[in-house]
Amino acid sequence: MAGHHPRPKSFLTRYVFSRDHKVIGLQFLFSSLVWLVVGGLLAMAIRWQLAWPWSDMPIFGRWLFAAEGGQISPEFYTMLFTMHGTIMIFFVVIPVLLGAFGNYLIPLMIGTRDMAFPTLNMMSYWLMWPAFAFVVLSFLSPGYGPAAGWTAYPPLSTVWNAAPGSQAGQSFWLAAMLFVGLASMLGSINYITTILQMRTSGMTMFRLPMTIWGMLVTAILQAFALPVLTVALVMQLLDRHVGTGFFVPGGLMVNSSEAIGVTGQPLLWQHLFWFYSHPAVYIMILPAMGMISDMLSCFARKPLFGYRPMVYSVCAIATLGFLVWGHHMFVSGMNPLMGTVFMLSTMLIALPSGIKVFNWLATLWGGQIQYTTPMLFSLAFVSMFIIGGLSGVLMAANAVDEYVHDTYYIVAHFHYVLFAGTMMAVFGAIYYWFPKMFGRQMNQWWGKVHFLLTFLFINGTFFPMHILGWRGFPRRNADPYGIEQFGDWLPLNRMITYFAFALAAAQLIFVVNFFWGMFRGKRATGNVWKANTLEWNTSNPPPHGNFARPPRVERGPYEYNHPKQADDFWPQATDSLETQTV
Amino acid sequence: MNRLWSLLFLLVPVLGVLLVVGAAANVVPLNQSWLPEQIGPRAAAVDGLFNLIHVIIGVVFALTGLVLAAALWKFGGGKAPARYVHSHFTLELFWTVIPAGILVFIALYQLPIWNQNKVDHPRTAMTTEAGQSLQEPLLRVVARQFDWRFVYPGQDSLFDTGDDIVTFGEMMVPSGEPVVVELASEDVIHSFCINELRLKQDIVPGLAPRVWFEISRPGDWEIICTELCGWGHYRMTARIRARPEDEFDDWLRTRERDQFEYEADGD
Repeated sequence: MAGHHPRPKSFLTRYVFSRDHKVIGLQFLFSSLVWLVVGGLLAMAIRWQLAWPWSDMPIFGRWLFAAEGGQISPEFYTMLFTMHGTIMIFFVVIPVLLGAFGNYLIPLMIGTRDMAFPTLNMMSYWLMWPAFAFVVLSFLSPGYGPAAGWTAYPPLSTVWNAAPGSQAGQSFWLAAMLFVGLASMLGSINYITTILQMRTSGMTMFRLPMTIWGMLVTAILQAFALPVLTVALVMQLLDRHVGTGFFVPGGLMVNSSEAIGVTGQPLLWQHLFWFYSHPAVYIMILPAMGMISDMLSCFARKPLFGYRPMVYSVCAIATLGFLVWGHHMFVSGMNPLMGTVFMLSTMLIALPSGIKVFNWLATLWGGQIQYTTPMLFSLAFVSMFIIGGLSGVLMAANAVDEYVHDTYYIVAHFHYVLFAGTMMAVFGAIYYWFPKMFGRQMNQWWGKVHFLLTFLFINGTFFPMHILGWRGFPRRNADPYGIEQFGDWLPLNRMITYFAFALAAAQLIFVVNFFWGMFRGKRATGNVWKANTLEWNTSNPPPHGNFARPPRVERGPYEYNHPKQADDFWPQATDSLETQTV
Repeated sequence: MNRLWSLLFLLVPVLGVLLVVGAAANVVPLNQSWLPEQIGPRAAAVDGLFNLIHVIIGVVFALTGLVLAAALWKFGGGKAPARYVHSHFTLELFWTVIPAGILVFIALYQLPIWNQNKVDHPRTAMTTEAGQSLQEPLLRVVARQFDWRFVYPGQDSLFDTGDDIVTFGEMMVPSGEPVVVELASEDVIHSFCINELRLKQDIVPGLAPRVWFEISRPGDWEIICTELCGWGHYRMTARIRARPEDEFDDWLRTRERDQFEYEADGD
């Protein structure tokens, strides 16, 4: 049978080169959390510069910028936001959603023993390590590392002397992205095959929990979009090393010397890049939407409202997600009539997102809401996604986008979606599935403290960025106060920086709680949250092979408070935990 | 405790709306004007749209936020068993059709402004024997790391000829009439942005995009680069000056004389 592999015997095959989806999931989880710390520190340095521009940075400044006398240099600043974006997107959000939760949950929630291709699964994790190595190398390159933004627009990224960071660092960056892409590609093939082929008996497509729908659609998005990014990355590498000139037009004088290029077209990169990277935006939100749908229903003790419309919305978002990439390019110089087309498709995509929000609200209405830590984070997702989604409507209107494009309005928007949205869902999911993963619980009281502080500071950090964007305050700018019209906006930025530091500090509570929970947390046996989905039909943590025998699914995942049931939940499979425990 | 959580979520719509309404009503300390001053019809058109969309999304933001808080207030930590309902067709229809209508409205309503700003060049400004035609650019903006150069075509009305007039860091245009500007980059992508006009156009090297605008009154403002162009991106600014047509003409003649006398002296 596909997916079956023998129980590992040695430490190396069990914990390092493991083919068990649960171990691989945890490997992804741990590496993502480590990178989250790195990405977070980069963000703190960005905030430092924006609050106290060109002043000596405490502690780190002396050894990082000995040559500049302890201050952030402009090229270091361009590296900071480039690497902050890169790391958060490719090393944190995508791996934590798909690598960690996708891997861990898919086989358990569909009631199978493992992924369809366990060895491929192992490779998908270990292909991340060359990417990690290349990113470390790029940090050590001239100019502190790549500095053309995570979007790496040519010619800045492609011509070697366009910026200090466009030397070796950019090539290492491209190599890292190639490996990340390969890793995701292998993962997504595995997820699609597993979900389509290995569901246990009775698990029809319309009995899949929303988490799995989110993962499936996301994996399909990746499988179709990633090849385009891969091609673009290879083309940029060729431009840089072979002089092909795909993206560099002729006759450029960069930094007083002529750049190699004949008939290249920088806009081509933007099209290819966003053809992947806009679907990537949905890759970074759909699994989170799935997970919070399951948590909301569980802790409202009420069936998920509008399951089928939810599924159709996810599919609609994914389909339309391929048709909206041009909204990143409204002012790029692409034909403005194409801007009109992309404006229309972007308006359309707001609709399924809206439908999801309304269904979440309807799920809560009439429920019996339990304020557990994962529930609070899920509620925060809904509350924050509303803000991020609505500001998206404003930006979809291209006549207005021309003004807010490349301002802090955009920065506020995607941080509301990705940080206040997705990362909230990820925190919720960690609190929720932690007992499943480690057989122990994280402390709930400290979890709520972590939630409260994060929720307050996240809004303190990102809401004022709307105001900055409203004023036209440009992003990716090392010293905006040098521009006359923005001279007065330092105090607001300083306030944002205080909130950002507090937000980072509040995460220490989570770190301590996480490790405390792993080793000292309350033992969690059985169905901790009285949830319906299949992962709770086995022990915590599940043994190798997950289930003693495959559970038989008899109903959908959202049968909470069924009038004919004594309990307020009715698991998808009635195999009792005892008969399943090995 | 349960009620406190609902109040926490209530803070989001309440504070969000208060902040924006407070700023609009000039309540201290929110009364720094958020939108930059308007210096032309283009800015007024964009601002009208900007404010309208904010009102629409603000209402949706407030309503959904209030419903969320109300649901938490009413059903938080309750003892009564939850209602067993899976879906409701009419409700789904309701919240699909109405938002769709709003989105279509926004899309169509903003379309003419996009067309006016980006698609139609000012056709009426120039009438030739063959009828109306596109207005020729008054000047060419040349961007490079990290400065702006402004090239006026001179007597022959042609660029790249010997009589081009070049200025650095200072762009002069006549006020009170539509101006067409051609943009060019010598190295990487830059973006030509004048916030007071709500104008932004990336300058991709190899393309020569044109923008047009009208500045209603004389004054001095800033041009900033809004596309990351390297380490010195933050300091890539220039002045834009608008003057009545006769002053503009004088300025151009003076520049021309200075430039060619200087060049003649140099020979």
